[in-house]
Amino acid sequence: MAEKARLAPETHRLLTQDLDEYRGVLVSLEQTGGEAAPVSWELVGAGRRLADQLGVKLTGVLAGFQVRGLATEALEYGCDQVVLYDQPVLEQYRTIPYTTALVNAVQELKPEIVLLGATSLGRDLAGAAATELATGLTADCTELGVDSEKRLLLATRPTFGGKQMATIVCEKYRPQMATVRPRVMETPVRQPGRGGEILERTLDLQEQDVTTKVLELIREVGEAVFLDRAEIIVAGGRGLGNKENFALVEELAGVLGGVVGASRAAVEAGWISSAHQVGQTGTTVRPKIYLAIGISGAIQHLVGMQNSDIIVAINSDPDASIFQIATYGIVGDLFEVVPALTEEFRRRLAGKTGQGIGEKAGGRETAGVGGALGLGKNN
Amino acid sequence: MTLKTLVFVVVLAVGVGAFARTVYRLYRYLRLGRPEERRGNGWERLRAVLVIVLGQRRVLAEPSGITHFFIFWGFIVLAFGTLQFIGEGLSEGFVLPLLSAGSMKYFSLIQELFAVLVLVAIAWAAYRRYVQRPDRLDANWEAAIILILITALIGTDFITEGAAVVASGGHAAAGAPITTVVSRLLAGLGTTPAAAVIVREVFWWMHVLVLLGFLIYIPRSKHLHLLAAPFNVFFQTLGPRGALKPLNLNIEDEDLEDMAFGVSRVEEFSWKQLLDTYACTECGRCQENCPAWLSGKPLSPKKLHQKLRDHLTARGEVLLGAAAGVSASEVADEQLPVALIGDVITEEEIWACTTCGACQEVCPVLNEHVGKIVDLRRHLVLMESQYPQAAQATIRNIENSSNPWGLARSARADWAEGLGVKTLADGPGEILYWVGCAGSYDDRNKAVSRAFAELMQAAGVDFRILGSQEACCGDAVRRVGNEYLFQMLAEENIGTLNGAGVKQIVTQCPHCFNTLKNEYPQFGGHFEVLHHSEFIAALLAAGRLKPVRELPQRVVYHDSCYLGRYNGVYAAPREVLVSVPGVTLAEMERSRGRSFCCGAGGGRMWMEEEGTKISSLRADQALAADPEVIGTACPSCLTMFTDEINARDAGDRVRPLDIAEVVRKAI
Repeated sequence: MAEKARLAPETHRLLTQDLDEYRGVLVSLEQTGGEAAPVSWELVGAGRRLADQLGVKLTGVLAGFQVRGLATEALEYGCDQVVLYDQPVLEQYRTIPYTTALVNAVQELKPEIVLLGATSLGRDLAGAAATELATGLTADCTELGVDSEKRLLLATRPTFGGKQMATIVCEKYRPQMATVRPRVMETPVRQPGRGGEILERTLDLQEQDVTTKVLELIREVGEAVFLDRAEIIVAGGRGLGNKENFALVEELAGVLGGVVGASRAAVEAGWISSAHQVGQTGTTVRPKIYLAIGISGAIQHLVGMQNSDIIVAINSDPDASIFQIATYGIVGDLFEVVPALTEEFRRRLAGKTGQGIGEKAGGRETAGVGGALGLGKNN
Repeated sequence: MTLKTLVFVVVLAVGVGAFARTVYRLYRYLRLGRPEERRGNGWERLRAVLVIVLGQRRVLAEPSGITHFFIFWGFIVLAFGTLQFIGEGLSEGFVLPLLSAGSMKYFSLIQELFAVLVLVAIAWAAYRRYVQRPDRLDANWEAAIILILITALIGTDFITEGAAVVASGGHAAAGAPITTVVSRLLAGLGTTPAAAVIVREVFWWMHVLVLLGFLIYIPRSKHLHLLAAPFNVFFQTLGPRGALKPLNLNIEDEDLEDMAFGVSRVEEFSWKQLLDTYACTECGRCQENCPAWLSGKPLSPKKLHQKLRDHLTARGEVLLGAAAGVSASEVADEQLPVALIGDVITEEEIWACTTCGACQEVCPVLNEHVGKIVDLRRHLVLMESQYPQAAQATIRNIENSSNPWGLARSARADWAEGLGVKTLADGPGEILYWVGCAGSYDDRNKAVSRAFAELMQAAGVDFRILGSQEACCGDAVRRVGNEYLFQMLAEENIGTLNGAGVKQIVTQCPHCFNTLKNEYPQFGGHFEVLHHSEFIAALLAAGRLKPVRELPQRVVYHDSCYLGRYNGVYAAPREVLVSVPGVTLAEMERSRGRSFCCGAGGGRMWMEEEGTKISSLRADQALAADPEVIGTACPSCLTMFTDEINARDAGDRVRPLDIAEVVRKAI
């Protein structure tokens, strides 16, 4: 790092020299063990849109070992070209080699915009790369736009605890960097056979140059219910009364192709395993649709799901806290409402079987379900 | 000097020497601990020794303590007899100072009386430990050895004295009824005066050996408490009980000993914390009152001290043996690869504690368990960044948004909407109402804030709130071990309060109350802090509040740990409740100082709980009092009770209400 630290002011001087040298959009493609993080393709979609607006190329940067297949995939999702670093030293994510790869690609291609996913790895990489490149970084964005005239990235993110949205621009430095929250941007449609250039590059870095060693990968244990990645969550609470009634929730989730969630009370009552718990102690979720059934809305539950796009609450108590944050509230006996909803969804979705409302439901299927519900996202 | 005297001197020297050597060793282990200033307030400390050691006040807090009282005082009285015995052994005709041949018979009478009392007490103690077998006592050999030694000590003395009577051809000893009885028994068995001389000699030597054996065994067993407890009481923590010790986190401070925050090696505890482990009597009262232990968690406060003491003696030996100039701790880590955290005390034990302080409340020797647990947590959190997973989100939220739920700081005063509550921007006012996180954001507790604010308005109190300037007080943060974040929060809040010239504060949260009152002075925040129970009681007493509406309900009051045990506020909330016409106050079996934690303290509110929930046990205890209302004076307790009552679908029978809500209904 000593050499890099010496380089930084030099880089800084170069960068401030001529902003117009910088053209193009670059996205950092995240992968672990040869599997692309979903946010990578979401970034390709968002980057594609920005590149088209600016009339420039979209480049993906991919670092890893034996990941060439992902480079091809990136082209099919919409990249014009992919810079590929494929070597053993990049097999596991480590800050220094990955930062070096990204920084090298930026210095070679001089893009005006660089996007990364706001994942654990992306956040680590973005900060290190922005420091190295001596430019600004807007973290955790939920909206991206461009001012085509000034060629500025308009990076928007929530602030003040989500009460306000701030749009941040980086006028004086290039590239303009941003990390983007996962599951906010839409995954683009993959176009098999779509081609492009793969630029193979190699880092002049050997294993012995990297002082960080990955000793062991410890997988998170527990049931994989993927609450955090779910687009639709159907959650049940104490209002269901007993374990048998929880089947109502499971059935509705099945029909919608959603994942089953639960409040702490339902988990503690033993109706469902803690892997399904949504809330402060549990998983924090941000699905497109969250159905809260028989959940009163204790604060510790609300904070775990309040950022869902659409919240539908079904509860017999009109004073229940859940209605304060619900997009749609149904005050009524859940034992009447839920079976009726399930039946109606089953009927309306029956015609769409070809599209497969299943676990793999992507953004478009969700819109289909939303349509079936009569729920728009135009609130 | 006769041969017998010579042998006696040698045996005595060996015994006393072995005793002194062990005690010196134990003293050196203590000195391995971190330094801690415990001097000053000598009279107050001596007074505590008089009351707690000589008066046995803590011991007598339980009926079974009477046994100990008699054994303790019996020992002191018999110790003079032993001194007389040793003196006689060294020089014939020896008499203790202040005694004379004339007063000797009264001295023997007292000796015999106490010997009998001790024997009776020992028998009862043995019955309790080995027949009744309460969970808190270990029916092990160590205790048995002690009981046998004491019995043997007294028994050999009686036989020696009785045989002496027979040997001298007499029939009775003046002022010694037991000795007389023993001598008659011996004579009755056909013991001739000549044989009695031999019996006397044999039992005299047996008495000597038992005595010295006892002396040698004391510092190696739980009876070390005989030596350690008086010092432990003398060096007790003075000042507010609810305040944890601050850590010096200024890494640029040259006085900072090293960069190891918290405790991961036994020698990183202070010498006083290590002395606690010597003072532990293994009576198990702590365990019997520990909500973690009683709900089936792996933590036992008694075992905590036992394990620490055993680990200290093992590791202390290695540490003392390390060569000069090397890091003794590192040598010890290598030679005795037993990790304090993990091998001796598990992380499950460390995180099971609710810091409720029930253990400390009942400890007869004033041991402090909570500070040690927090020190271990401090190491995990500050040095290794290891929290229980569930607590991580909470700590992050507090760090980012100054409240546990990560909600907008600007929404902090939303609870007061429409009440016309003023903030400090409208001038200083009479008193500052510190709302706390739960009272600001949690719907159930927002209702309490509203009720309390309305009470103050009804009483004409010109109060202010901080609104969005209020930040989490840091109670839970400090108790999960994140001293760094706690000090940041404390400094921010103290800056706000001092900046606004706040003098008097009232809050409905015992955790905020304790932190502001007892811990903020450590960082330059000196305020007069009242709990809302105290404030409402004062308003009632002054006639500023007049509950008139009848509320014919049976209310059982639950003592919050941080209000009751840590701050001694027991009367005020009860006064507030009974001020309401129609209210009848019921008590749970565990109440006041012996109250049972709701399970939320010490950051446990923000962690998952395996197995039987503490809150569930407490709810059962409350329901056993057959109440219509469970009166609380703490937002966390209210949350726990509300959840429990909801989980039982008992909401139509019993309602958990804050005391302010109860009074509000009557105004």
